[in-house]
Amino acid sequence: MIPFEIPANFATQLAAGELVRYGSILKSAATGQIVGHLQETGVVQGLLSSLAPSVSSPLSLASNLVNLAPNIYTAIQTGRIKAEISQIKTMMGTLQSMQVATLGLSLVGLGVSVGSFFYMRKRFNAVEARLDQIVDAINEGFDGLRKAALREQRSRTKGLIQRAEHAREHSNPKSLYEDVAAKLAEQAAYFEGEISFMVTAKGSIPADLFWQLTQSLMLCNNVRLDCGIRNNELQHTLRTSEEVATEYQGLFNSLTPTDFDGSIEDGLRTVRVLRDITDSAASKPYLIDYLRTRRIAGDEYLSKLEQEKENPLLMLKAS
Amino acid sequence: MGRSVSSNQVSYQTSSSGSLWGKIWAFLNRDVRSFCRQLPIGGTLQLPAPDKPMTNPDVLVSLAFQRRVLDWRDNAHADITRSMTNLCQAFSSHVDSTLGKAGLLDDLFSDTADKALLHEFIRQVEEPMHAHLDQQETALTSLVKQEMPAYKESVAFRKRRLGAEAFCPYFCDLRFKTSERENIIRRLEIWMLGSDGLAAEFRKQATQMADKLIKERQV
Repeated sequence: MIPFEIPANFATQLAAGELVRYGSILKSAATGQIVGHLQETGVVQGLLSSLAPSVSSPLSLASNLVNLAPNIYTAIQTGRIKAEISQIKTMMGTLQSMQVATLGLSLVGLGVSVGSFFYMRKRFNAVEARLDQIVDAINEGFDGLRKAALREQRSRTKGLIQRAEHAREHSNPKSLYEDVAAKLAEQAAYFEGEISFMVTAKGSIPADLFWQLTQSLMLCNNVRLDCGIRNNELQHTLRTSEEVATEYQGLFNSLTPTDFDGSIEDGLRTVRVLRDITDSAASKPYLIDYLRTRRIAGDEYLSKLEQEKENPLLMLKAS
Repeated sequence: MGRSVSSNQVSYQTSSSGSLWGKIWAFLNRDVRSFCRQLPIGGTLQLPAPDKPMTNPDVLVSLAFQRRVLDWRDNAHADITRSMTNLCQAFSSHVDSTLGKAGLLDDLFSDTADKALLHEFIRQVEEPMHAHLDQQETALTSLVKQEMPAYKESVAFRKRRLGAEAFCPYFCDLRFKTSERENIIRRLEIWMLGSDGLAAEFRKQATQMADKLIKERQV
């Protein structure tokens, strides 16, 4: 029995300052003890991919959802859409009550990413399409060779996510997950290198391109961790998640609102999402460690979250 | 020759014969990791017990502090840039309108730009910018008091570059006359917003202050 609870139950304590949130962790303000881990369920990625497939960056997510929901509601009042809108409202309400500053965080995962490989591939396809547009528009600083390399790496990444998606039907899914995770580590290293190059280059960082590469990096890492958890290799996955968290800190901590092209306000929103991404990544090892020490099987944990049909967010109670 | 690996325990079975061949065979089959971790050949390496946490909750406290300091730094960067941009625009408009009203005689007997602009520079740029930086200092001081009560070092911007002694030498070679209007405005923009300008200087200081505090609190 996995001790899931509804996060809204903790909202009052959080508002009163009895609990504090860091990333996806809720802690007691008095004792510092971890009280629970916020965890997205399969509902989140399902909602995002069906209602906001064109969301290109976490920054636009909130406004897209807010604008999209009433339009759809007026146009087609089917039961399914109504339910989805109600779930979006629940999700937004829960995120706000949990004092998650940027709704865009739901694009990068609270807790471990539970989008299922199908949704992750869908998300990667959206990122890829946007990358095509951006890269074609950029001539300066992005030569033909780099464009070709990026295209090749994206295809490889997509293929690997596809392999993960079909691993369950494989006679030996464990080895397939291991293989995919190992290869995605290389893909993540490629995207990290591109981001790092962009960050250290002279001049303003092109925010749009930066986001697409960042999302590609995060998807690679999320699928890597997902494969490890699915394989119940929790100890190894924990170490991987620590490495990922350290990598995000190294990449993003030095970035400030004035480093990006566009307005200061956009820059400020961008770095806020980056901080949330970093915090979320830094809190993942604690969740995985909790699963490990409580001997909660990783595949069972993910399966429960994928099967959840009502709540976009759950809380894994830690004590 | 078998090797079984479980998530919690790694055990190695070797053909543990005492013969030279047996030793060579065991050496060749040794896991490379064992050279670093002194994994006993034919023995068992005990990895951390499954129930023992591998994460340190103290790190979370330091990460949460880091987040607060980074948020302060990001806000300070945005505020400094936004304020300096607005002040630069306002001051450029002042230069523009003053020179717009200048007559032929004013142009003939013009002062140097530093003398002509110093008073207004202090009123329109130095004082408001001081106030913005003071606000940022107050925010950081309150954060430090809350999170690091024992920290005694000052968290303040060095504001000398905002003063007259830095302003005057930068503008003293320009005459304050209509024909120099574009030069003065361009110089002002570089002085305030350029890559080595005032905004960049205070952003750099904010970053240094944040880095120092984060380093102090690292676990």
